[in-house]
Amino acid sequence: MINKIIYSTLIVLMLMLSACTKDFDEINSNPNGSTEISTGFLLTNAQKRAMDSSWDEWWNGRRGNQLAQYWASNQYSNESRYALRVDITNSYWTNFYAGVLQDLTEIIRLNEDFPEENQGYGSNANQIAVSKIMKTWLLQNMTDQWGDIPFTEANKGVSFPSPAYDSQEGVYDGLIAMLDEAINTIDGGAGPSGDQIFGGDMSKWAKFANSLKLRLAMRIADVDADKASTVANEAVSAGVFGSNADNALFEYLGGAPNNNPLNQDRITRNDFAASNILIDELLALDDPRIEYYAEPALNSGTYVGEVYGLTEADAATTLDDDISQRSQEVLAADAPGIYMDYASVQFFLAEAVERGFIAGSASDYYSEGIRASMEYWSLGSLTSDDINTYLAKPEVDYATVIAGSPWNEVIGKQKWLALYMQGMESWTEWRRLDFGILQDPAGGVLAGSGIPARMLYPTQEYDRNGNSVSAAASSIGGDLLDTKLWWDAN
Amino acid sequence: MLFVLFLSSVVMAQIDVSGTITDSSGETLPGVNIYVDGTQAGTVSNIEGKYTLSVPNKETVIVYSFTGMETEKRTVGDQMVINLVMREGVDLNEAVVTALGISKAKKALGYSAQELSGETTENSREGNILAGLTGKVAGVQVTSSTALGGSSRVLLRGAGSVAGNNSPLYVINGVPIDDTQFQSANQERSTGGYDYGSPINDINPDDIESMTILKGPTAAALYGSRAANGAIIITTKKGGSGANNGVGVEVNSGISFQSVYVLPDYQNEYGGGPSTNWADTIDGAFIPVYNYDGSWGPKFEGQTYRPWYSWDETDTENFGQTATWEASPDNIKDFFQTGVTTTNSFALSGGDQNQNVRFSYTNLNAKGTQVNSTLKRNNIGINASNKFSDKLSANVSGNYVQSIASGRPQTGYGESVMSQFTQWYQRQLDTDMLRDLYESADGSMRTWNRMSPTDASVNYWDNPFWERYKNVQNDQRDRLTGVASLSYKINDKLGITGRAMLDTYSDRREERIAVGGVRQAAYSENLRTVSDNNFDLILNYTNQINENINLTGIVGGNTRVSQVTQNLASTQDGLNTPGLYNLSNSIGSIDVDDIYRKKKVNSLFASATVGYKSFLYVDLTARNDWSSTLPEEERSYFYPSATASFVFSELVDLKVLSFGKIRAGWSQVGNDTDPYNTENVYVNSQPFNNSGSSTVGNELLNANLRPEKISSFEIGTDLRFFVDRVRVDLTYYNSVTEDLLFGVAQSSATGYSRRFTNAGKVKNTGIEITLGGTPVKRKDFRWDVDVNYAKNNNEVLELIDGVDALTLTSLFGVTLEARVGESYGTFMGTGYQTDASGNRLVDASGFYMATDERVALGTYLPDFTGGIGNTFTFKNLSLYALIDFQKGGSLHSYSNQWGKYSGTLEETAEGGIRENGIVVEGVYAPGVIIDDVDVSGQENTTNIDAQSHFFSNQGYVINEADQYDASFVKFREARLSYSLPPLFNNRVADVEIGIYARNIAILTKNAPHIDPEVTVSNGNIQGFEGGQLPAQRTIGFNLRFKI
Repeated sequence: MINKIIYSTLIVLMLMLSACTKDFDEINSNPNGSTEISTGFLLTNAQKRAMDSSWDEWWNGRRGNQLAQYWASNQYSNESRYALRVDITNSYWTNFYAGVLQDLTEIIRLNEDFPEENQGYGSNANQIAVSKIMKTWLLQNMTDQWGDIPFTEANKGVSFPSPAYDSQEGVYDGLIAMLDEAINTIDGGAGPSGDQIFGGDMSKWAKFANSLKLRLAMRIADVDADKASTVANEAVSAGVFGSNADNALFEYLGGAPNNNPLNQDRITRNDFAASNILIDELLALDDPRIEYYAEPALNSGTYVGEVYGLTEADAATTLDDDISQRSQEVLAADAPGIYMDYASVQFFLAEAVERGFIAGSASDYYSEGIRASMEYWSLGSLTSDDINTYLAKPEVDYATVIAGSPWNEVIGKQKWLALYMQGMESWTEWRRLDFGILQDPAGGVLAGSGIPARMLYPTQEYDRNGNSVSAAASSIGGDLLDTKLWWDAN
Repeated sequence: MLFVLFLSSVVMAQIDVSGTITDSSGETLPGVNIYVDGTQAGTVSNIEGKYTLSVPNKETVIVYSFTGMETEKRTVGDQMVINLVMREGVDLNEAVVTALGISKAKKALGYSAQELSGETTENSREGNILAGLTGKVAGVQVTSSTALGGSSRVLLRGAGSVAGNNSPLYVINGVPIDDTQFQSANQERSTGGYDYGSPINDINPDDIESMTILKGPTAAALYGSRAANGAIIITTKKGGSGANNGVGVEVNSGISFQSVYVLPDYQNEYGGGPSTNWADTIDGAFIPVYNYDGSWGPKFEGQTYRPWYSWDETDTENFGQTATWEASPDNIKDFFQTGVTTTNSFALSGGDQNQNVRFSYTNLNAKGTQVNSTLKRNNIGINASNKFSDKLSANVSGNYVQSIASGRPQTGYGESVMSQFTQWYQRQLDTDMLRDLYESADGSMRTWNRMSPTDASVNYWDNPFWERYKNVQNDQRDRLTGVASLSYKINDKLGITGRAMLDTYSDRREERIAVGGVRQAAYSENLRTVSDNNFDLILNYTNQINENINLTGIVGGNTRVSQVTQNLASTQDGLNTPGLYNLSNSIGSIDVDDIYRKKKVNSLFASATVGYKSFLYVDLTARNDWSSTLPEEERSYFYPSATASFVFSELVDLKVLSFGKIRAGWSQVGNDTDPYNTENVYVNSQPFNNSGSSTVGNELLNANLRPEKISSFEIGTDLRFFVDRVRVDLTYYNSVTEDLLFGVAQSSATGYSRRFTNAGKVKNTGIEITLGGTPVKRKDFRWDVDVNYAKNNNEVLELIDGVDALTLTSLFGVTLEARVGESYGTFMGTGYQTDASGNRLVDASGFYMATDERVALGTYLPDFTGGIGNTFTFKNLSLYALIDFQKGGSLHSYSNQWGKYSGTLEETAEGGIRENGIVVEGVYAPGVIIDDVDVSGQENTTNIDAQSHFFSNQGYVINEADQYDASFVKFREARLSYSLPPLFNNRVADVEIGIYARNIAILTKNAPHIDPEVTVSNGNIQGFEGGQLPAQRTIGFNLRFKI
């Protein structure tokens, strides 16, 4: 009797347990997400996140626009003296690689491995091409910020748990090759769904790809003029941006969470103002863009830039009402973010002429760059007469200025004025063209020896990928703010 | 009620036994527990040592037990009166409730298990059972928040997991209960949010009969993985006959008052503003800089100025008013009020040897120390058992709790009122004016931090009273916990028990941000339902094989199903209609986070205990789990334990030693993971412009997971001398957790910043010492001392190849990490640069230099903790006092960091520093040249101004500057109670009046301005202090009696 009870209890228990593990796979399948996806959703997310992470108060507000000295800090000004916070470097490195680049890599993988399942979201070739163009844009920004970066072994998951860093030269070669693949494989099929930049218009993507190719070419002009010339010519003959209508923009919407990140930030914080470097330059040229870039100081009604790079104590004693705040245009909820614009292409072309890469008139390209910038910022409010008046000023007119200054100064200064808000790109072009406008921070530098030549690698790489990042650091000549990048030769 | 009456009326024909109990000196003994052997039915002797007990028949055995006396048993027989002389001695049969509710003789345990009576926590009347544990048990570290209904973090023997749960399992009457707090990451690192408290707070301290703390995994092997960090096993009171048999009524009523007592020391010499300059003057009155949130402003010299509230033309009373520029030394203190908590509970109980029932109701009503904050809690509990026959018995217990809070205080850096008071404030502000004038006639906010005289909009800080009255959160938790069990005794040796255990709750949290404050108006509703249900079937076996060997064993199976649903919705872009808190009032699309999680674990387990004579016990356990969270091949995992206890005092008769045992145990515990960690899914983010938006996520999941493994070993001894007058309990343990399952940080360049996998190894070793003594024991006076001490060493031994650290969180450049070679919870940040002899290096401008590399700044885990409790009993008067301490442990304080930055704290105005500047202590760094002279290594003589000093030499620039030692000694608890003799002809008994106080004083500490006991959540992220709510002192009165 007792034995029977024991045995039957055990049998019941065993039966209960074996029956109950049958549904375990089902229980453990995640109902909060899907294992299948429209690649268009990934593209939308990648495009938005790429812009959010490049345009927001942290990457652009505290870094890009301050490294280019467009803005000055009225709080926590140590950042403007180049004490750049390590945790921000860490999180944006992750945003770029694990956020944007991984989603783009996934679109390519899905189209390559499962072409039939994914051709409903645009032709496989076009989806892959757009992803590669987006990747090139971001990876070039990154290598221009850090130097050597993981590229060949990047975004390959467990295959390369400790990705090696490629030399910057290798990254540039790789990016040019990747862009060529993209340009050459664009087909007549549908553009990708979910595309927030060009709405799936592949002809515009081709122009963006060639404009990026021009950007890659011109960046290496000082270290490999022959290659730069060849690549630039290929890009130009294939067709770069032809007007502001071609600009690669991310058009933010009116309301959170789809509003411009700087607009979102301004709702609760006001840590930046227009810098004296920017305001003084605009005032000196009587540049009409001043009203689109900044506001007059509330107390005086005049434009007064906040001194760039104040100590914390001095910044704290500068009153908001005494200085020019950032403009409504910049802080609007639907202010677009700029991946790349027509104006910057025109300045590259002017430079290409001066370097003898392409034929044409540097003066025309230069003037067209200024015109494009003014039309873009004023949304057409500045008439051609206004613009022509400005172009005719002796301090602006190309022929007049070039007579007394080298082309890098002339083109560099106007490009700097046109690249407002594209802080990282502007800082990069300042490092490359070495024109004089930027000044050492008024409060002195807290790290490095002057305006940084690059950013430090993320500390998390030293914790998680120590051998690779250490190798890269020694290869570039030290993980320092002062270490010049490969293309920063002159 | 009817049910209870019914039960008491079915009492059968019985024999009434009565008697008087005395000790060997002839003194009567009140309070002796007297009960029928094998049941819960019993009574206690009254003040004259007399008792009456109804027993069913002549064969009944009555047990008499009293602490410090030998337990006696008597068979009733024909005696109607049983008088007893109890002998002082050691209660060798003292039982302790262990895993699965199995009661074991303490001497048979091969591991450390500490039992606390319900009075221990009941007496501290915290409304929070965990806070009442503080300082009382070796190796149990309890850190409690002072937020109304706030969290307690409990760690038993340190932290073993890297990213997973390090909290113990709580079990109430056999029901494992959920203690997931659902706090945001920002809340945990002290950057804002509400502390919603640990769900374990739902338990009513008054209902607790006893708590057993099983510290190591050995003790908990039978509860399975969830008890890998130890278990706290709570048994609630059961029914029993009252003082006069039949229905007993227990009443417990108390009121307590809370007041804040650790406030930062503020400076009272300078008012608000960025510099000593005024912004302007008007009609001879100065205008200060309103929009600056700091106190580097003009010196208080009685100047006439225009206060912030003097610019609103609609406020005719104050418009144009001037005020005197002077300090408001108590402006922060004045913000707080005295909190009041009332707790009233009553319980009805009754029963006999066959059935008993206890019904209890408790109402807690609390008003916080910040205005407009309340907490109400109602507990209804029932515990009933019935013996249908000699073979069949049933037990049902259930507890329903409803907890409703409103206006919990914001915590952390940012939104907490303390954050503006200490970190970003103007010292002249008058709290009464802020209170009276927080709202203008048109309903908009009026704040001190207005943009300018002409612009009333807010710059950074809302009026603190606007925050309290307008941004009010609400939450409600409804929880049902219960167990139903049925036992059948097959024969003398074999029994079977089936149990269904249920723990389910719904939790609704509403947060509001009113239109008109600095933050975008918003409303969010977070709804969660959590259920954790267990079913088990256990066969138990007991056999006295021969006169020397006793065998007990169990075999059982368990199924656990755990489910969580979360619907988190919030408005975006503001609210259309001010004051309407409804999701439909959102300007933008509503943001929704919809999450469902489920997991199931099946288990088979067995345990066997062999006792040889009464001195050697060996206990073996084995368990196999099948978890739905692991991949099919690894779903099943087995883990064993073995412990032994050797009572050597049974063999040798040492006069001095009244009891002596050594024990040793070894165990392994397997552990599974959370649901859905085996396969990646695409995660939706907010749709954009009519397109869906999805991402692959930052964590690479893994289909090749194995269960975690925790191996531990402990050895200990339990010694008692001089007939229990001196008690010593020593334990050494060593625990290694490996193959931990967590998202290992990896290079983001792989495409994923984390990879979920088995990795890591963490070691905890430590000792625990509990000393007890009764230095004085006279007829009317007794003094008991209990001392506990625990030291734990924690080290992260490895993470995964190529990875040195996992960041738990970071803020303002300081990261909290699990780092190889360091203790868990290590802070990393910049330190001071120093020379070889430790002098701080100073640059040419006279400032300290931060290290280029980040260095380890300390861990939040303390070196050692402990407590000293003293109980003095004089006749019916009893006094208890507890002092507890922590040595070491580290914290990062944003109150100090930003309070120095903004010039509110005392040291920013001390010694004329603002007028004369400061020369910091240190030597010039190598290569420093001043006036063409190389001054390397020479003592710093460069004077810097105070403001620059506090901007550049504090923790934001040099993180180490605001990293503090968290050591403390606190006078934690005191209680004076008086037991009255039975009243009204013995109708009212156990009358006790008590006065108690908690958190009486911090006797020593090293962290300035704050209470070093820092917590705002029960999670792994600890040690960041920002806008800490001030420590609170509680003084209360309590009355209880039984009818």
